[in-house]
Amino acid sequence: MRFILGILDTARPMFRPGGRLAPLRPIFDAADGFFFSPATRTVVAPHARDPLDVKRYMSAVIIAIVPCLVAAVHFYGLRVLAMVLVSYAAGGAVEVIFAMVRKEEIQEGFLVTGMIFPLILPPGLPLWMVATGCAFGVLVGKEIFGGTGRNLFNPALVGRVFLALGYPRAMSGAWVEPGTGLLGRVFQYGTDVVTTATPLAAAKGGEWAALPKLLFGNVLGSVGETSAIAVILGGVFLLVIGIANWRIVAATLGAFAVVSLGLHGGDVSIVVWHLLAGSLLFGALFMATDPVTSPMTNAGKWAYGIIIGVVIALIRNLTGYVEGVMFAILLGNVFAPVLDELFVAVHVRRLREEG
Amino acid sequence: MADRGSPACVGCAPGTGPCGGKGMETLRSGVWITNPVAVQVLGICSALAVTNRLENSLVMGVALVFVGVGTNLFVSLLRNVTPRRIRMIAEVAIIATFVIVFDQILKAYYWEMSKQLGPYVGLIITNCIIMGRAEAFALSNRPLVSMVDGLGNGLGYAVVLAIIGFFRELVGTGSILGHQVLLSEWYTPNQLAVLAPGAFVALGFLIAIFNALTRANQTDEMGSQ
Amino acid sequence: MKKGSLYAVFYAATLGIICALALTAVDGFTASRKAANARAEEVRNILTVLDVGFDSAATSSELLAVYERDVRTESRGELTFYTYEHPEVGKLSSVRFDGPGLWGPIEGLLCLREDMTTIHAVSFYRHEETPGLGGEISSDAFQDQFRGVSILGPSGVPGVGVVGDGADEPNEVDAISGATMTCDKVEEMLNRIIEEVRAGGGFDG
Repeated sequence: MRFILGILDTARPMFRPGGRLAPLRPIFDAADGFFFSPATRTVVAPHARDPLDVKRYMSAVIIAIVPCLVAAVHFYGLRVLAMVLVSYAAGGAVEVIFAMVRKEEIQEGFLVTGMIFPLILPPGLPLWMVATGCAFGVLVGKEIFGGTGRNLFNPALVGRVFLALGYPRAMSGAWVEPGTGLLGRVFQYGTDVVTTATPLAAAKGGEWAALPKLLFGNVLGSVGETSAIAVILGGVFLLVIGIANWRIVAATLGAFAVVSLGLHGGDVSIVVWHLLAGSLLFGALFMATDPVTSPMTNAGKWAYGIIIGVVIALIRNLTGYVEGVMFAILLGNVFAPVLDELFVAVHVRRLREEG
Repeated sequence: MADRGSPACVGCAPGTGPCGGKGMETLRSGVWITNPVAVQVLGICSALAVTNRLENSLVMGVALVFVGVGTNLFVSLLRNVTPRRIRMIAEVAIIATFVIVFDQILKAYYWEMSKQLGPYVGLIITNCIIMGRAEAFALSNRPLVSMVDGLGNGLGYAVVLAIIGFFRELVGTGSILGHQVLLSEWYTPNQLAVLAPGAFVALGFLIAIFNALTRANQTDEMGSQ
Repeated sequence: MKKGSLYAVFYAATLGIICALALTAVDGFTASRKAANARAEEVRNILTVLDVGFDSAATSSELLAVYERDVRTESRGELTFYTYEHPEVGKLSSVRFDGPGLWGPIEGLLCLREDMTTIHAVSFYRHEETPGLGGEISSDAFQDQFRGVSILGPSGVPGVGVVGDGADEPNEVDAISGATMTCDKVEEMLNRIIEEVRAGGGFDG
């Protein structure tokens, strides 16, 4: 550690305003802040309402994602790690450029986006698409709005929509047959892409994958969503330490279950199957709960979750798309600020009438 | 900008010449300073809908120049005899005539393009740019300078459409004007670009760049004062 | 006040008449070309599916001339067939079909060989399917799969299959991966027209 401190201290003057490498200062600050806690503290954080600062929030989410990542490497091979690296590199480049233009620090929010993004993609997707998608998501989904804390949409989902609409063929035909046995594909790179249908697509044709398979995750699907157990494990961790809001999760899953129950004529087993299949759990636990793009008020959180759950159920059951989590959460993001405004106004009016 | 002037108006001193010396300024504000699409954000519906190919964008631009110049000329010619109460109806009648003429010619001589553009040529009748220029400019200006205004705004629209169309076609299909320029061996077309959302993204980027440029322009002018 | 209103009415009427006259003139001037273009549009689809050779740069009137020379229409039952004596494969009969796609209506032409059980060609000339996925039904790669496919299954049951798990029967073609819904709709509308062809006197000709 002393060695690193030495390097950083020698280099520090060059990055000071007026120094030779002054434009690259955000990179230096990022390296500095990664290893050592900075002498100055951030005064204005995106959310100063609770004792968790942005950095602690980010670390918690990354810890929560570890089970999904382990499951993904087990089923789909080491390529998953390559996807994570590429995603970090591409998104990080955009982040650094914007930090330099704005003369600001690099924002840690990116650490989560760069990690979640590859997890919501098909495991066989070409790496350059991972890079383009992540760069687009960070650029259009976040930087254009002013960076972390100001974005309207979840950047990872913006990147995914970009790929899903831009390269529909690659995105719907890049599934990898999950590895079997104790070690799965842990020691393989895993590129043999198959084009057979995912459980949700097959279900439209009347073939229902077995529940244990969905639970453990040896089915086709996006990288991180495949194993329901891993997703639940990480999600429960986030709920327990209070990073993910339980109201959003409960409202999303509850609304989805109620609407699906209605659409399937009260068949509980189909609804349970649907709850475990696809990216519903991953979306509800990791993406809908993003504090930046979800409402602040408790009533708003319920309404937001209900919108997402209902839309997922409608898209899955009534349209040509097999999965609707991505569109539903983005649609929920659109409503988040409006919901807050609405419920704050209602609350204020009630207080006025009482007083 | 000096090379873009209409021949009749180049070099007119203020207050003289056929356009009263306002020709250049009128043209410049239509194409650049108050660009109907990039600055006023008008005519967006068609700008988003037809720009999936460069060729479509160009034809649509020509249509707007034709209708804009024609409408402004006639609205201006009739400005002193048109009863105020029914001036809007008169304007719409004139616009509709020009639009239908253009549409008919397209159907007869450029059938493929007419099919591509679908209803959007007809919808120029409701295009805010044309109606707006007739109301705001032609109704209170002389014919020739009104024509220049129609030309400027039509060109402003056409230029923006051409830029968007160029990039959408290039990114979305790897070709320009139907000629493959990016080889399919190493370029996978991004189909988002030719879909409607791609138009929104492209237009957003274009307006951002436009704003950045005009803002830089303004600070320059301020600095030199 | 009254005088102003009268003037406005007079003005509006004059302007209306002038505009109407201008439009009538333009319409009269372009009418024949427009009609030829619209007709040529239909004719081009029929000529393509019947494999009638024509110059792709041909004008509307040239296309119509080729059509008049080579293609005959026959009514059999409820259906209208467009037929052509192909120099190599014999008499070809084609018939229109349509049906709902995933996002909008799909229209196409089915062309059968002389035995009325072998498909010569299928073309989907109008659709609104997802570009890159369902939209691929109008690609040559998908349409060419139908060449030589039988409209009878191995046990003689009429119908074709657009299947996802590998086409191995004489009446099957491969579906487009990722576009299962569109392919199901396409299969449905093809089978409906096949049924109509077999029921509607397709065999007495």
